[in-house]
Amino acid sequence: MDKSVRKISRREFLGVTKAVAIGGIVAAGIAGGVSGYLARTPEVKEVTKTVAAWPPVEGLRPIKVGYVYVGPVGDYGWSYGHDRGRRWADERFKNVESFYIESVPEPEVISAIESLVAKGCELIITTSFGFMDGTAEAAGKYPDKYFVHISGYRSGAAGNAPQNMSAAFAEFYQLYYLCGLAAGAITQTGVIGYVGAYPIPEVVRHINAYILGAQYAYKKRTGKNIKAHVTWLFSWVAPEDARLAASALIDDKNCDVLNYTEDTPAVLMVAEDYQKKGRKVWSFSHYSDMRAYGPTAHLTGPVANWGPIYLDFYRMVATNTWQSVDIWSRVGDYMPWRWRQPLEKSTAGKEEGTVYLAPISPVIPNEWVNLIKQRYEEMKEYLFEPFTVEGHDPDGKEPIRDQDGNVRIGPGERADRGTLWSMDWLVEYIEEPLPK
Amino acid sequence: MSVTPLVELRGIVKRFPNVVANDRVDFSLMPGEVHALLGENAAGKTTLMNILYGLYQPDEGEIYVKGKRVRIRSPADSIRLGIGMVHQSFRLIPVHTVWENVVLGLKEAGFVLNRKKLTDMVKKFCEEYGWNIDPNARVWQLSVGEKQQVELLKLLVRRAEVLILDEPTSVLTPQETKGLFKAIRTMAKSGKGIIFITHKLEEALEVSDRVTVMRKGRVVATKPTGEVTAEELANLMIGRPVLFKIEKPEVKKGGIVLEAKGLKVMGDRGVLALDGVNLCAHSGEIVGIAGIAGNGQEELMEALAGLRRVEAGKVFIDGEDVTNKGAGYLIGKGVSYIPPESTRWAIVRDMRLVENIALKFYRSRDFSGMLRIDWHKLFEFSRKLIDEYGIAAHSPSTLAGTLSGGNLQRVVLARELSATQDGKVPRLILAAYPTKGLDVAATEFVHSLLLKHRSMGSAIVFLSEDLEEIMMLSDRIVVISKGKVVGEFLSKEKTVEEVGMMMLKGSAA
Amino acid sequence: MFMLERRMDISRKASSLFVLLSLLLAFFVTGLIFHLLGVDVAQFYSTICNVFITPALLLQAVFRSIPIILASLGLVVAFRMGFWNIGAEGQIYLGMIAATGIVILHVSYGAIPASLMLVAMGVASFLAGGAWCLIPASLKVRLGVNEVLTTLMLNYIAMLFTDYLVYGPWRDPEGWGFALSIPFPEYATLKYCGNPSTVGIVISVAVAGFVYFLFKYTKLGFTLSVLGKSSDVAKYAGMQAGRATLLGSIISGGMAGLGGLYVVSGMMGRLRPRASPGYGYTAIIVAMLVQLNPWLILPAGVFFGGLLTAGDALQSSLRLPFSAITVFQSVIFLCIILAEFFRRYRVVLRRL
Repeated sequence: MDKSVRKISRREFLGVTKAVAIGGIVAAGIAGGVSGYLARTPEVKEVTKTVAAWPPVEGLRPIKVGYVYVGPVGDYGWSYGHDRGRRWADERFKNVESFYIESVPEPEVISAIESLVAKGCELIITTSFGFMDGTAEAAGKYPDKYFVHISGYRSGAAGNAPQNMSAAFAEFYQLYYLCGLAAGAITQTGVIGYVGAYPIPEVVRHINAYILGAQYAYKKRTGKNIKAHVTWLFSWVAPEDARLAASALIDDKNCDVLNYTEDTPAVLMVAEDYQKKGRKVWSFSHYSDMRAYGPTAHLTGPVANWGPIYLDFYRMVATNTWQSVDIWSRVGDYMPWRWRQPLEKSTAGKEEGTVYLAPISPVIPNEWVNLIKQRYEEMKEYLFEPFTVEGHDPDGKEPIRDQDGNVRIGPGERADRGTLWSMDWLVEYIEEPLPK
Repeated sequence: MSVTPLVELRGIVKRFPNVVANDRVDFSLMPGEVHALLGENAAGKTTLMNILYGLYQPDEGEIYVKGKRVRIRSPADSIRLGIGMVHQSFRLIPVHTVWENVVLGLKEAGFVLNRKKLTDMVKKFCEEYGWNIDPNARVWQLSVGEKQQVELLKLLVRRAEVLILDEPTSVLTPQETKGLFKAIRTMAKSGKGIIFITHKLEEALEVSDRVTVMRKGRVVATKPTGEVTAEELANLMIGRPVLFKIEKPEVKKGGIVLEAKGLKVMGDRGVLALDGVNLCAHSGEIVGIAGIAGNGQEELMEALAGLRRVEAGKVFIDGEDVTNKGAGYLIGKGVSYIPPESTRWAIVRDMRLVENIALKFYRSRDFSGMLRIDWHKLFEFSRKLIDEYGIAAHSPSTLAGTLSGGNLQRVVLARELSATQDGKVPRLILAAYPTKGLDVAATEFVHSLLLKHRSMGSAIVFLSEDLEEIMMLSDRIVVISKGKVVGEFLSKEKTVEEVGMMMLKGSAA
Repeated sequence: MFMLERRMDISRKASSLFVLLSLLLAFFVTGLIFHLLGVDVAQFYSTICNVFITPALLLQAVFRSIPIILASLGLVVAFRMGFWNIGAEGQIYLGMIAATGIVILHVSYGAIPASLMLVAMGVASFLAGGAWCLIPASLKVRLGVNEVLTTLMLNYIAMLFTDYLVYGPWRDPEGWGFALSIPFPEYATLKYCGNPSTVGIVISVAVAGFVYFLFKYTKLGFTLSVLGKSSDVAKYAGMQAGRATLLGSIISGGMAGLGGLYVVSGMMGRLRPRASPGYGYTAIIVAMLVQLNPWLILPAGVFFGGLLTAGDALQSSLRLPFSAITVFQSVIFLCIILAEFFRRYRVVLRRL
């Protein structure tokens, strides 16, 4: 790997120095102006894992598995989702003893891993992006143990970590697109909103997918373009801020369908409050089925089950067939079959695989429910992808443009994993620029 | 016709460590009477009233309210008995309104406040006393006099029959004082009893029906106001010649050490405490500052010690202009300062003796290098001082806080008077009340130390509450009143009575 | 009637006895609570004790405690001079920022030779943390602004500024857009000098020694102590209170800055947003716990790290939730506060 270094421009240098000076920091001034941009874009190794049929997991040798969570297990949210996955996998594997340590601060992940190793765990799963380096370090230190890191980019398969480390992620953008279809189908104001956690590629591609879906449906319904607003929380868990942001999007921007990346049902609950007051505002589930928090306002939503991924790793360890993988699990993965169902038998809105839709609300007009189902089924076989001209424009003509009007995805193109994983632009229908 | 007194105190004794604040005090207050409690600072007036108000428990003695013996354990008790007090420093919440402050903690106000009713009530009282306060004004917007009226309102609303006013005029302008006196008379007319604590003669004569004079914890006289003169009261307050004579050797006066010209200094309340004071002190001379407490003497000492900003004027030490050079610089010039309340200003209670002694020595070459302090040497030095000054502590590592007040005063003296690093005697010793709270033997020890330093050539400026002491010890006396020098003379030129009148009247008699 | 009387004569021995007793009480009370909840108490105690007698676990405890210890030592300086610095958290962040800045400066420009990297990072994080603490100190000295509020508010500014850098100009271009800085090269991590825990101990002992020396032997230390115990007396003794406050604040913040260096260079290997899980706040508790004794900070800090490590073990062995550790910690705090109360006051039965 050659590291060609690009010197930063004087303007970039001054820009940063100024920001530092405004902060009034003397010593950070020493460090000021140090935005080193490395020129090379990293190449993508795609090792997407597809499981065609369930390998048997019963009767395998007993294993011990340890999980490291970033937050408390709680009732909903990110760590809760992983713990549900753990229990799902344990139930099916049977011959397993699993442990978890919750609320682990990022700098101390190694310490938590060591506790689990001391406990005899041979497979250790760390479930937060910030644990990535620590996990890789532990993998180097314990070459006879196996490590899985969730939501990062380091693994033996990608070549930037030891071979006993794998990466995995359950990908939502396809589901966000389907949520977008629902939003475009039901919006009366033609304005929809999104409450985002952090401006990182993961969230950015979810937002874009959601808006593309909404544009498709709304354009087809009315012939007009959708309008969208995004508010950033700069936090994964901030129910109060999310509440305020959601109310502002509804009251000030006239949004009537809100999606979000925030680990609580706060936004859905705001929508439900408006419904109770007689204003039609809609929202979605996030990570788990949250219908209970907004029985009226709930449309559908992306739901994850990490269980199948974990079970797969259990099997690999117990059968001594480990190989480092970089799993990027989407609709259709980890299912007994990877083929689409006819509309009337569609499984959209039912639990299957690792990522699926929460139950679809009956308030969505039938023709749109059918379209959601059709797209969901097509995506299982890669027949349809959201980030395409077909996903964007009902007439299949208009390319996908960013906010500056640059064509990002033209006819015949599909965004590949590299594009999606480093997405740093927003689609044209969004009013607010992406914070840099 | 015998009327039951509203309040009667009999044989009250209150002891504090090292001092008897109240010594068998009797006191009574009739309905409709304004009773002035007169005395110098620390005469025991405030202690006595704090006992009546329930802040202190008396060690001996009995309290009667309307003829019934009572025990007052807390201010809550005293308020229940109809006794209220206005302290020197107000106890109001500045950001709240007048009526809110008045009803705060008032039982009759109930849980849900009826704003209209309560403001009306406040208004009614204001009209009765001719006060012009808006019940809805915020307290911070009020003048000092108005704040005092709010304090009085609090008592009136609680139907207090006995009102204790602690030095109420000390913060007021002359006009405000007049208004206050009018209100006091109105209250008395309605049958309330008012205890008026003051150290100002004229006020006591002007407003009261009866005067009780206290001195050193004892009541020296209680008389109807009409039967006493100002001179009589002054003598009672300041007291008769006392105790011991001092052998004062003749010392030849040397050159001028301290010279202060036209000093103007602000007090803590932001008013001018010194207004153009001139003062000088020669080597081998003791200059006594005489004055009724609160006339600027303490501010003068602080200004000379570099602890208070000099707004105008100049201070010279040995001819060098040291105005506003700061305490650290003056210490280096050989200025020692024995402050009043040495435990607050000059002693760190939870540090060891050696550290307390180090306070003024740790910077000197003898005891420290560039960075390091030579604690070993300071330890030896402290041990020597402990012996020399008879400090009752077994080791320099004793915590200062465990020593008695008299012993701490010795520590301060030891530090301030002992020869500095290079064997030099302090050039200027500023001693504020150095014998306060000390017994006779200790007082004599301090006197002998000051005289010793006088003969060694230090210039000494000396402050005392005891005029007798000033007259005996000083070579020259400067009388201060209301921040101005009103008289300057050699100590043998005048009698105690003459100086006393000068202090009280604020001009040369 | 029961009355409280202030104790005047507290010996150091009695003082530490009180702390030890309070810890024992905390252990007992927690055991009782967990026993009532049906937890195997014997195993609970042995799991916790195990941490402190197993070398590997103890090393882990040390690893997690170093940032707390360093920040705590800084707070000793601040608290002893009566400067209520609640801002160690922010000063830690500034230390992280400065250290990362040096790395980026080095990687982009080659401005600093590799062999000097750790020294440069140490100096930069000390100065950055110190400067961050100097802001509230000068506001206090110049304008009389209460430092409790300013130091606390600066924590949020520092944290958000870190966010800005990591999401903005300092984002690793090879990091797939995730919020992280470039990884530190090997020679910019403490691993370069040895096991991070060991390096941490050496730094901590050195810093503790420095604080001890400062207050025991130096003029500045003496000035700061007097200032902290009575600013009136300091003024009276002609000490330059303002200057001492500024100097002391730089030292205080600088040490927290070193804690920040340890987080990025010893623990994480790069800068991340919200990298400190509140080390600066835990440091306050540790500093108060040992009554500002710099040497005792070391065992107390390790004790806290040990509790966290024990927390991991308790979760995996006894399947207790993380909140069990929170309960335990809270009981400890309550017991210590209780002990502090009885250390200062004695209850006497008195008839009025």
